[in-house]
Amino acid sequence: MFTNLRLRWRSLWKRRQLDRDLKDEIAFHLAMRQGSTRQFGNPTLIRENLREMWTFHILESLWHDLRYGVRMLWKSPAFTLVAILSLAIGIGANTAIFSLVDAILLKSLPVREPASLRLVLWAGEPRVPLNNSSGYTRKNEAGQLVHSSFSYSMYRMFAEQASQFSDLAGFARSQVTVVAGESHYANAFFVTGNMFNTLGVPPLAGREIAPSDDRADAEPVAVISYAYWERHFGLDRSAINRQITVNGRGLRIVGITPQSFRGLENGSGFDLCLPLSLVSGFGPKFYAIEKPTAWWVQIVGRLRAGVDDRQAKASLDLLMERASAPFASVPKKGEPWRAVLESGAAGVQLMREQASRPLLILAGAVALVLLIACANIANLLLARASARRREIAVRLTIGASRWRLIGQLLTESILLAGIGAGLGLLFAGPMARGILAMAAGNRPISIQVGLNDRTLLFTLIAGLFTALLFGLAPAIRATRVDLSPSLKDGSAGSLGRGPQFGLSRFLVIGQVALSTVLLAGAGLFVRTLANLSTIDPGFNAHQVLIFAADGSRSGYEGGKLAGLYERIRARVAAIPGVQAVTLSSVPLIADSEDNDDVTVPGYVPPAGKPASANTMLTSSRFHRILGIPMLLGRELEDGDGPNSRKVAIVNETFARTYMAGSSPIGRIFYFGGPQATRKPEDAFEVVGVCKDAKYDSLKHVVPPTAYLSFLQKPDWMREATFEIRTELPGSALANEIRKEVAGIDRNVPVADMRTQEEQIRQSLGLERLFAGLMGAFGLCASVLAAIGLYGLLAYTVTRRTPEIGIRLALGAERRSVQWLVLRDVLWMVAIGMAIGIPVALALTSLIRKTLFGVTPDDPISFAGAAVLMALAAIAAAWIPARRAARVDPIKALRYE
Amino acid sequence: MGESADRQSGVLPGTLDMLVLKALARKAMHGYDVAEFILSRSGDLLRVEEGALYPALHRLELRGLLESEWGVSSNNRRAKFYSLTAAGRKRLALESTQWASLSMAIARVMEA
Repeated sequence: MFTNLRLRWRSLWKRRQLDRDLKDEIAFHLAMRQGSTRQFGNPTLIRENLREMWTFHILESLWHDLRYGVRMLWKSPAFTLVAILSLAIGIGANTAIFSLVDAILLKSLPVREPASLRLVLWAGEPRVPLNNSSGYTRKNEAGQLVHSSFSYSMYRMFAEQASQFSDLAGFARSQVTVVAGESHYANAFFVTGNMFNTLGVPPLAGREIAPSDDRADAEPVAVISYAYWERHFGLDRSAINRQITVNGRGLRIVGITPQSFRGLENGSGFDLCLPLSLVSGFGPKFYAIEKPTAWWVQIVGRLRAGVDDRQAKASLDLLMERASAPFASVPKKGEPWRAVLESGAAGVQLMREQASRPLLILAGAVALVLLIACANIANLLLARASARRREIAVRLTIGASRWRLIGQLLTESILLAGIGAGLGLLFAGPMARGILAMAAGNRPISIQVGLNDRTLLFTLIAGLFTALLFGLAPAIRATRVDLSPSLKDGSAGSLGRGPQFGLSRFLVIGQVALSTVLLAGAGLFVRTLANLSTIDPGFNAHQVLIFAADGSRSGYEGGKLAGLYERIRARVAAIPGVQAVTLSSVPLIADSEDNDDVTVPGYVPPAGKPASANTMLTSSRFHRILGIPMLLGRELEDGDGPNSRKVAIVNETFARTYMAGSSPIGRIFYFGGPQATRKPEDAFEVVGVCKDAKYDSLKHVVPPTAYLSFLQKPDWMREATFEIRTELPGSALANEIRKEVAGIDRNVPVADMRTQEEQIRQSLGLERLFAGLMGAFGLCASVLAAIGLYGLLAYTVTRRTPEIGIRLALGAERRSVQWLVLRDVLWMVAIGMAIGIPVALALTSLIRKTLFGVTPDDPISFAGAAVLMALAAIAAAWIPARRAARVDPIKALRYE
Repeated sequence: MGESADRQSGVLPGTLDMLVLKALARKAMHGYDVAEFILSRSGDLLRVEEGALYPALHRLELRGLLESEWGVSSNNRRAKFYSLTAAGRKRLALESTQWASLSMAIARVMEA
């Protein structure tokens, strides 16, 4: 067998020699036999048989088909170009979306044996004051509310006693301020000493965090991520052993993690990795190692081989029970604590919920685009097939097998799909990254999107599937030829109204239907974006520059922190060109909010729905500087300082909801629920009412909101956002601002500088993405459908030329001939829409949540889609219709 | 690679390969001589068609039972000479014994 393959393989490369040898051998035999009357048979056939033995027959014919295919495609460049371009768009867009799905939803962590990693979570009624918790709480697939974080002592207990795990590692994250050259914010990833060993991630350079680093008396060290190394050290190896200042304290860099490792949280990445023991000095204050009520450690573990999840969970449940003992005095209510194990293979999936719906919508849209492209190409192939009828008939008559011909036609299709997929791959990567950047807005998303073996496999399968989809039916149709009339070289008349014609119409109708679906969807998203863009935020975002600074991570707190912010505000306000500066505890329209329970004397909240309000700590004249109109009373003034009476400005909704009936001015309220203890000095007096202004998002209804002076509630202050009213562009002021802030304290970095308008635009990233992409897809689809229509009509008109000639000769008006063609188009468009609109209605109800200000059955979007589609169809029909009207009856009839 | 070519020859199905191997056992030959050899040794009874002979030769070569070399024939023409390989000899020995016992067995049955 081996010799066989070897010999055949050799002959593959020596085709010419093989051919010559076979010929010679037969020729020699014939010469020897000359004069003999014996029959030899067909020498060519024998030679062919021998040849087949020596070669890989399938490979050979494939090669032939490919060469033939290239020649045929080359011969009709217009068809080839349209086909390849539409396939490139279709397959490329699908690959782009798939690579996002892959990166966000499918990809495993780049660690050893990701399948045996488990995230340890818990469910049940929190019986501890969990305002000291960090991490996340979310509903899992079973509809259970699960919490991510444990106290450090619980982590220790698990790590020591849960024998079903070979390792349990703890982690937490927070933002820190780093001074290494310039000061900046960085994401810190705190890990227990066994983390890297548990994951099996070797260092790229230097060493990893080791158990010996995770001790109170150890030297403070950090490992940096590849991205951070690149950004701040330019990939310079001397970064190792460098001393940096983190939150005001010294730290030595000891290693660099590999480029592929981006921490445990999919989407958020990290800059510095510190031992968990350093959390007390470098982390937020409530990350307390010793406090049993501080729940902030997240846990990842590796199951021992052979242990199943049930056993592991049972033993953790037991430990949870023991851990709850210290809280026995807290009144029990609801479910007891239970451990929850989730797969850790893909890490902590923070983006899954947010991302899966948009990805699903986009995946659906790109699948439609590809389907339309397929229908289009199938149609073009059908038209070509009728042009190639004679060729195919000849080949069938001289004995080619039908399967061989179908194989050949399919090879052409696969060739087309292959080139299209190749081109598509070129722009899939940039497209995926663009989508991600647009959807992310100004939140940094750390995800590696790119071509890997999975996405390449996807493209390959998509390409093959596409080729079959558009190539199979035309190939089968093309080879089902009635030989005799086709061979008699058809005048147009010989191509009867065959079944093939029905298929073309069906495909065009399908295209119209799908395009209508896409256009209607695009209309909804465009209207959503338009609604959001014209929404009045309730303040004047024009010519406002904003930036963030956080002194709380550079050693400032309470009154000192407020003092720092006030100094920064004053110094920035003194920069020439700056008209006014104010600050707030939360940036506006940035999807973040502070919300607290409030108690308003005289207001009785309905049961189970305690009164609450969004709070915003601001400096004086916040409302005037941002242009939020005051309705009653006064705004915050310089006099509202730490020692004066506590005052608040409330918005209209607050006043209407909690203080209905009497004038809100002069009334008081407290923060905290009804049980909270309160002293007279905790009371806030309402001194002004302002108009409602959007707070966290343009999309949300404005909640009751209270604006307080940051000087009167400094303990609530952490990061501050400064709003600068200026006519100068940000670029002109950026350096000046950095200089002033650094002049006050160079450990306090200036971050996230942007205009308020940019901030708003970024908050609409997803909507802009949808409107843009769906609009583009819708246009692509309708152009493709128009091309399909045009192709079909051009063909029909050619076919019907004699008939039209007769009609004209018999006195039909040119106008009515034109109508003949147009009527055909309108029929197809009408049927297409009759199918497309109900389908669109069914599909758009699935995207209700993604829309704003329009219902999924928005008549304007649907009418717009129908009109656009009809216009595209009429444009496509125009040229063929005119050609039909200009048919010269004499010429047309002469052909018959 | 079908054995179906055997059916075209005048020989018993499955025996062509053996005859070809036997013909080449003494010395290397080209295809024409192989056919002539079989014809003359069989007393002009076994007429091997070219359409079966050459596929058989090539098949045996691909299986490594024969090897071939281009040489010059007695009438000074380029010709392909086939000869047995070691594997070919072994195979011939095996087939000869099998054939001997088979033909004897059949003869006994037919004489009974």
